[in-house]
This record gives sequence, C-alpha cells and structure tokens, in this order.
Amino acid sequence: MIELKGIFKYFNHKTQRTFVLKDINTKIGEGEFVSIMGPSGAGKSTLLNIIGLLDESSEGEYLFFDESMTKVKDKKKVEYHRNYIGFIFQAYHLIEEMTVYENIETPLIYKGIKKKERQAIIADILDRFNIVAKKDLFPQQLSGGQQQMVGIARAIAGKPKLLLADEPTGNLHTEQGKMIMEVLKELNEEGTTIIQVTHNEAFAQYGTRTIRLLDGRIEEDVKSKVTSLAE
Amino acid sequence: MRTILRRLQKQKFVTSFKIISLGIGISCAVILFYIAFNLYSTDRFYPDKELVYQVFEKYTTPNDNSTSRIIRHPVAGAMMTDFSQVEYGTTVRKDWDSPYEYKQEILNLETYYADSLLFKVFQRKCILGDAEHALKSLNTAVITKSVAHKLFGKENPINQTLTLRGSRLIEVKAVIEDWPSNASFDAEVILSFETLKNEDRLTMSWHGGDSFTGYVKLLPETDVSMLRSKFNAFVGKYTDLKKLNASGYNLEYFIVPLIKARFLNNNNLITQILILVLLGTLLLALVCFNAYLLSVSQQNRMKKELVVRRINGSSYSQVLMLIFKDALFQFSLALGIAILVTWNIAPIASTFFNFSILKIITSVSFVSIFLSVTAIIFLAIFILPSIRTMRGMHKTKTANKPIFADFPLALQIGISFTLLTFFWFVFQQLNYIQSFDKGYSSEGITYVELHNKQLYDNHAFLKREISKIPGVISVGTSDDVPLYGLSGNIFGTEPSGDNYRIFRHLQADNDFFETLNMTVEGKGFSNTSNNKNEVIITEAVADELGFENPLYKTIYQTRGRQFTIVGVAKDIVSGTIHSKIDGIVFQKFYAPDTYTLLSIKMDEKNMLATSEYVTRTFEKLMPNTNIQLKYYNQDIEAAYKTDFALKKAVTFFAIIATLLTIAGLVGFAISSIQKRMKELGVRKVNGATEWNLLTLLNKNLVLKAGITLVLFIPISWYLVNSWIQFYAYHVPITPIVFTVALMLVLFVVFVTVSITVWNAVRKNPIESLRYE
Repeated sequence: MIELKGIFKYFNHKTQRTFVLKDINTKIGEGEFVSIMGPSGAGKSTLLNIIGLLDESSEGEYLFFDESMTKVKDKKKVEYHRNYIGFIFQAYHLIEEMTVYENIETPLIYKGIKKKERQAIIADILDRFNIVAKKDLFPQQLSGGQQQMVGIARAIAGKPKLLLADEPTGNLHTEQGKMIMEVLKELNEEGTTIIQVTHNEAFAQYGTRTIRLLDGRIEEDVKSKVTSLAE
Repeated sequence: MRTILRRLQKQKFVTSFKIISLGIGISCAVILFYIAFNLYSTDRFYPDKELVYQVFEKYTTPNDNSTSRIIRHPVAGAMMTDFSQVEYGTTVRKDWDSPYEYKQEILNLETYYADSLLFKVFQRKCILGDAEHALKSLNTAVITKSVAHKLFGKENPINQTLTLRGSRLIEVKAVIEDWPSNASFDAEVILSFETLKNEDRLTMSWHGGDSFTGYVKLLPETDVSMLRSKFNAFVGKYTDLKKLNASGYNLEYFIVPLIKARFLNNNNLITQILILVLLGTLLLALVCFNAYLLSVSQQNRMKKELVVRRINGSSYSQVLMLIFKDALFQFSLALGIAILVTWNIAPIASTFFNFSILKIITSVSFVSIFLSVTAIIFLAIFILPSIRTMRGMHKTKTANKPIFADFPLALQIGISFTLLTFFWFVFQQLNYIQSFDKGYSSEGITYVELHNKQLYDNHAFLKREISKIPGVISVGTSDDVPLYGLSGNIFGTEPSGDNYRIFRHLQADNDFFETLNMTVEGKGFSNTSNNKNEVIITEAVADELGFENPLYKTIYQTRGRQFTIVGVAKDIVSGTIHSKIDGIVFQKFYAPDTYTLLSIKMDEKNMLATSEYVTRTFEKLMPNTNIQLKYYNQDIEAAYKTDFALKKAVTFFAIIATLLTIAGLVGFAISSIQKRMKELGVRKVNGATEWNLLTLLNKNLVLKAGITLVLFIPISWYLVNSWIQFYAYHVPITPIVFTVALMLVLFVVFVTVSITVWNAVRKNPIESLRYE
C-alpha cells in the first residue's frame, strides 16, 4: 500500500541545511496498524504528513498503491483526501461553528454523497460511537474524549483505506486514551490501515508494528510483541 | 520598544495598512468636519454675538409674499431712534463691481458702503487711523490689514489714494483687522454712505428700491419678543400701512439673531453642513471599522504572548501597559500620517471653501476637532480591543454566533457604496455643468468694460474702430454681460394690475445677439430708428407672461411705459445653473449714462494676436484709460470656480474612499479568514478543494454584502438627492448608477476576498493546524 524509498526532508537556511528526515525506506501493507515513535524533533509528524500528502519530501520516492506521489498535482491530492485518507489530530480540529453532526458530514459533502445517503452514514457512525445524543452540540460543549471521538467519526465517515492519527491521545487522560485506542484497534480489525504517531509506549502496542525514529532516521522497525499489552 | 517594533514588523502588511488608511481617513474626516463647523459657526466669533440681530423684511402682495434680507435704508436707524432697547442700528450696502487702481494695477476688492455705526455693531479692532470717522466723510475708506499689505506693502496705508472705477479718488483713513473666514460680513474695503450718495442715484427713503441690509445691537437683557410686538406700529409710523393693507399689500419687519440669520431662507447651507458632516462621519466610520477589525486581529495574535507574560508573573496592569504602549505607538504613527496628509489636502479644501491653509491648521477650533476625533478613535479602536482581549472576551464564539457579528462588515460595505454613489453623481453633475447648453456661444468672445465717462461717451466710435481690426468678427454693445446674473426689472402684460413679474433686464444692440451667436426669432431691433421702446424677450418671459405668440405684442412697466416685442430669443444662462434660468427682457441699447460693455467676437485661431491688437487700439484711441480685455470663458470658469474645485476635491476624495474601501475589505478579509484558518485547514484535509473554500467564503460574504447594499440604497439616494438640489438643472438620479455601484462594490468584495482567501487556502493546511 505504502512504499517509501530514500525519503529525505530538509530545509535550507542560507548556507546551512537542516535535515528532518534522512533516508527513510519502508513499506506498509494494507491492514497494518503502525505506531511511529521517537523523541520530539525526530521527524514523526513530518513523516506522517508526507504519507498523508500534506507535505512533500525533498528527495526520494513515495508510492501509494503503487502510484508515485512525488510531485503529485493538488487536484489528485484532493482526490486521495476524499477517498483514501482520513486524519485524526491531537487537537481534534473540529470546526467550532459546526455541530457534531455537521462536522461529521463535512467530508461526505466534499465526497459528493447525496443528502439521504449522508444521513444514513452519519446515523450509523453516531450510533457506533454512542454519540447520537450529542449530534446537535457544538465541539466546545463536549469533553476532550468526546471531541476526539467526533474527530475519529469524521475521519472514518468517508470510509478511508488509510487512517493517519497524529498523537490522537495526546490531549486526553489515560482512560479516554484507552477508549480511543480501542476504537482505532477495532477499525484496524475491520480492515482500515492505521498509522499513528505517539509518545505513549502502551498505546503504541495497540499497533501491529512500531517504527522508531531518531534524528530523522529509522532506528528500529519491529512487529509489536504483545498486541494486547494495554488490555 | 524593541519588542513593539519586532511585533509590528512581523505583521508589517496589516500594520502599515491599518496605519496608513487610518491616517488618511482621520485627515479627510477632520477637514470635512472643520469645514462644516466653520459654516455652522458663521459670525459666532463676535463678542456680543447674542445681542446683534439682522433686520428682515416681509413684503406681502395679493399674489404672494417674500421674506428678504434686503430692507429699506432708514429702517435700522429708525429702530435705534424709536426703541430704547436698540443700542445701535447700522445699514450696509454691497458694491457689486469695485475695481480699484493703484500704481497702474487694477484690483477687484470686496466693497461695502456703511454708516459710521458699523463697528459699534460688528466689533473689529482698528489697527490704524479712526474707522468711525472714516465712515462719516466723503470719499474715505476703511480697509483690512491684508488689503493694506497687498496694496501698500510696508508703506503706511493712511492717506494713500486709490482710484475707484477709473475716476473716483478714495483716501484710506483707517485699517482694521481681517475678518475671520466664517464672517458673513467680510468687506475688504468699507466706504462711507456719503461717498455712495455722491456716486449713485439712490433711493434711500422708506419707499425702498435699493439693496440695503440692516443690523441692530440690542441692550443686554432686552425682552426680544416684547420688542418684536412693537414692530407693526413702528412700520405704521413711517408708511401708510392702512392704504397698503386695503389693496391687499402688507409690510412687516422682524429681527433674527445674527448667528441664525444666515440659515434663514437658506436650506442649502444646512444641507451642505449635513452632507459634510455625514461624509466625514462615513469616511471616519469606514477607516475606524477597518482599523478596529485589524486591531482585533492583531490583539488575537498577541493573546498568546500576554498569557505567557501573565504566567511568568506579569501583573494585570503591566500587561495592560504593554498593550497601551503598543497601541500608542501605532496611533502616533497614524497621527503623523494624518498630519502629513492634512497638510497636503488642506490647500485643496482651501480653494473650494476659500480658507487659508494656515488659518485652518492654526485655528483653535480645528485643533480641538482634530484632538477630539483622534482621541475618540484612539479609545475606540486601539484601547477597546485591548481591554476586550485582556478580559478574554475575544475567544472565538461558537454555539451562539451573535447576530451583529457581521455588523462592522455590513457598515463598511454600506458606507463604501454610499460614498461611491455620491461621488459618482457629483462627478456626473460637474461634467453636466461643463456641457450644459448656455444658449449662447462664449468661444472666442472677449469683453471690455467702458468704465468711465470718457469711454462710455465714445462707445459708438470705439465699437466702429474695434470692428475694423482684422480678426474681429463682430462687436456688440450692452450694459452688462450675462455672466454673473443680471439686474431685475418689472414687466407685465397690462398697463396696471397684478400681472407684473420680475425679469432680468439687459440693454443690448442687435450686434450683441450676433456676437453671442444667439438665436432670435423676429425682426430684432431696428438699426435705423432710435426707438427705446423695442424689446426682445427670451422664451421663459413669453411662457411666464402667457404669450403663445409674443411677437409684436406689448408689455408694460409699472410706471406705464410700454414696449413692443420685436424678437424672441432662446433662453440663456445669465449666471450659473445653480439657479433656474431666468427670463430676460433685452431692451434696445440707447445712449447710456452708466456702464457700457463691448463684447468682441474674434477669430479663435488668432485670438492672442487679435487681443493684443485690440488692447493697443484702445490705448491709442483713449490714452491712460487703462482698459482690461476679459474673456467670457474665463469668467464662466470663475463663476463655476467652487464647482470645479469641488470636482477636484471629489476626484481626490473618491480615490481615497475607493482605496479605503479596498483597504477595509482586505482588512476584513484578513481578519475573518485569520479567524477561520483552522477551519480552512480542517476542511482541506477533509477533501475540500481550493475552489470549494473560495466558494464557501465568498458565497456567504457576497450574499451579506448584497443585502447590505440594498438596505443602503435609500441612504445613498437621500444623500445624492439632497446635494443635487443645489443645482436648478441637474442630471437625473437614475437607478443605473446605484445598480452599477452595487455591482462594483460586490465585485470589489468578491475580488478582494477571493485574493485573500486564495492566498490563505494555498498554504499548507498543516501550517494552520500545527499551532492550534
């Protein structure tokens, strides 16, 4: 599904070049649940953004479903965002002027799904995440965990093949974090490929594989030993 | 200070936008307010202003009645004699044409005749000589300080001699301080009534007939209503009121406080003041809203810094001081720009409203207005957002979006639209003036005033000689030219009765019509006979007198003199089109005992050479008479001087208003998009294209703008309609201008917002999401 070949990301400042990612080579198959770990500044989020087509590498080749994403046009990127990739953020990034229902509806509108069908999809999702009663509330009226739940609901509404989560539990306490991880695990079991960036060892173990970055390089890439450690 | 500069530099685009537009806006608004204030405060500078009243006359006929500031000569003086409450009464008369000659130079000065009590009523400091005595003697004058300086430089002006109208020697006997720019009585030269009596055949009795204005100064604590109630008996004492009343006529006098007198019967002045205040307010509101939005946006950015400072132990007042310093710095920059712009705009305003730049900028009232306006702005748009930020009131509202959240935008767009339509109509009207058919041709026409007896006694000879000059096409004789309004005379269709009307009156010969290329139907004046009883009337006269076919009909003057209509001319503009075109009765020119003018049509190709030839010929034929060749077109331009100055000012203000409008919209777009950057980022990662986002933001904004504009149409219409009433002939107020202006503003909204949005949405969404 994803193949990264010699990915570099750097910034030039006058005569100095600062590397964020150095020679990243890896493959991620469909159905995997990958946790990217590493200290701050290791390049985790940058790597996630490159995979999510929100950023571009300075060098190297990125293949997504065997198609090169290097120099891909904006129009094509939008296509991928609509149909293949979903995002979950640490700060939830819900639109504050919109209700829970409207937030979840947003990607479906952009996908061009008709109103009736949208209503059915959203009803299913609300039901699944147990937030039917909250559908008319605004984000600020929800707890952090609930907001992240809406964030996930919005991310999966368009049935993406790849779900990218940048520290999805970073703003939550442990119990809420666990709840979110359970949901992600469930989604992975249903076939969604997930890549998460996390600092939390325990939550990383929800994944099937852990990639550790250090100073922009892959330091370790291992299968998770006990997938049910957190349980 | 360093931090302030760094912060501003970081947001240099927004900051410079805000400061420059604010500076320009403050400057324009303050000038407009000052002009309005100056008009409003007419005559308020006199120390005894509360005690000075102007005398008005109300004359009723069986057909109508008229209130006039023109009174009969003895009225004010008689009031002083008859009523103990009237301390002084003074009468003045304006002299409409006063060329003075001094050392070969001719200067037209604003001249009045007045009695010696003038300065008891209108207090003015006498710098040199004895002003009161000067107004008692024959051929003596009081002049203002600036006239003295203009004429005599550093020489002592006292006892210097000027020549009035080529023959009368006037001796300067006193010099007074200049009148302020808001004085209704603003004579540069004041001559005694003795001089006037000697020069003109005047009607200075209770029968009236000449144009005098009168003022009285009451004793303090006078019961004015009681005094007014005695005026009827007062009139009865001097005129046969019973006889007048019996035939349906009446004569009344009343007094109006000087500071209000200018507004009486002058709605134009009030409207003019209102328009100026409204324009100033709109302009100021526009820039204030703009700056406010940008301030809020800047303060929002600063919020994080404030929180960090608070966490690190800064007190509330220290943080407030920080915001205050930041605001003060930006405000000082805006103020600097405002002063700079004022310095440059004020001369334009000066040409329009006849102020001196120095007088404007150094006047106490101007400085007060400037300081008040700027203080309000400082509080409203710099300190208010800061305090709101401090109190955390600027958290993004979510669930309950206030209904007036878009109010500043709506107002800004509405104001822009109003200004745009107003300036558009002003511009159209001023173009209309330029292309208005005057009814005669002024191209290539000059005129010469035969201003002394030697000249006008020889007018026929001079006309003949000038006609012979190569390049001169024709020469017409008249007793006036239709440039600054003509004097009036009463004519009717019956020898007696109520059918008399006042028409403009001009003596002219047949060549005058040819020279001005006027169309005349009928045979015109006979060249041979010396029949003084022939008249040519304009179409407006025929209409008003009810003639369908006026040729060879007879019209009458009140004293029974009768005239035969020998021609009907097309209507001509005899003044400016501010007032309605009056009917003119042209009487056949006969041997004059006063002014005579020669209108000379020249070949336009050799106008300069011919003009020089004509001047030389005059000098040769009548040495030392000092004639001046004047051009019709130049005088017409001078008559519309304020209109053309207005056109310049309008162009200037229109450009500023348009720039401020765009600045305002950019400001709004930046501020509103900045608030929605996160939303845009989220939408983008959820699959929204740039076009989706562009449509989303524009749809909302353009719709709101559209609704606002429709709501503002009546306001704009009112403003335009009020202004256009200054002109008797004006362009129609068509909906097309409003429609086009509406489309234009919408287009500007669309383009400005689109460009700003486009720049924002092109950014990587992660940029906006990362720091949230």
